[in-house]
Amino acid sequence: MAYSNKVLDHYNNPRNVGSLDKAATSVGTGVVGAPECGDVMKLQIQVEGDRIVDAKFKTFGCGSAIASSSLATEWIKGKTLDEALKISNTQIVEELALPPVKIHCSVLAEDAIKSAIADYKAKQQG
Amino acid sequence: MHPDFFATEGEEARAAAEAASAALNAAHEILSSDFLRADWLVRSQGGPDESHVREMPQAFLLEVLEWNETLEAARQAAPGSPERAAAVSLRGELLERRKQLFATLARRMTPLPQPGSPELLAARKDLNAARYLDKTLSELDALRVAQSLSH
Repeated sequence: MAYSNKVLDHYNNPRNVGSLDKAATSVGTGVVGAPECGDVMKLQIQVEGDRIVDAKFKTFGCGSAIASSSLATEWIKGKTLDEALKISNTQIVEELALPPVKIHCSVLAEDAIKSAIADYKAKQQG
Repeated sequence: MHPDFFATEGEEARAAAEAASAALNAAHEILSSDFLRADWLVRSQGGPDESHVREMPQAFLLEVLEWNETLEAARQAAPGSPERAAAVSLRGELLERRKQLFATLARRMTPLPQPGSPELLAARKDLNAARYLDKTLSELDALRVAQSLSH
């Protein structure tokens, strides 16, 4: 099964790889995993006001999981939290032309965004 | 039952022998693996499959992330380096965790929980944790093989 060019592009030149300060109150961290394959993904956002000003990820998994998280960080940068919450895995599937067996990779990326935002919001209340 | 013994028989007998052998091979594969055996038992009692129980505790996923970071550092490090030593000790630690996990699973599944029992859900969570363990362990083993070949 061949990866699409967009997947290969993100896989070979992943955007926004790295970490943000997990302890900072302006940073939300989401860690999610796919039990089907044992892949794990960490996605972090830095928020100012209600806007995501920076995003970083670290994914240990297949090419599709890396591409999905790379694309996710690209898309959420500059968006408000509400806009970012609207990103769905089907948009990632379409953009990367993921085959059915790799749909769970896009689900992982969507879950990671939601989990990072939830972590950020919980920090603001704490 | 082996299809070779039925090579000269009619088509129906040959097909039956092949089907029986295939079923036996599949059963043998499941029975030979502690993971697949437990997985089969959970399913056979109507328990959840892995896609229905996706959530894992954050603390556990953070640990998985750390294992992967140790693995990544070891891959890039020279033989004999502290990073390689860390991967070796991680392998020992994960093998021990796996042993404990399957001992817990064996207790949960004995006697076999009835359909709808919360033990089936707990068993599925254990199996999902085992998948993360097994993936990391297989990568640690691959690193070991690559390392021993390079010597």
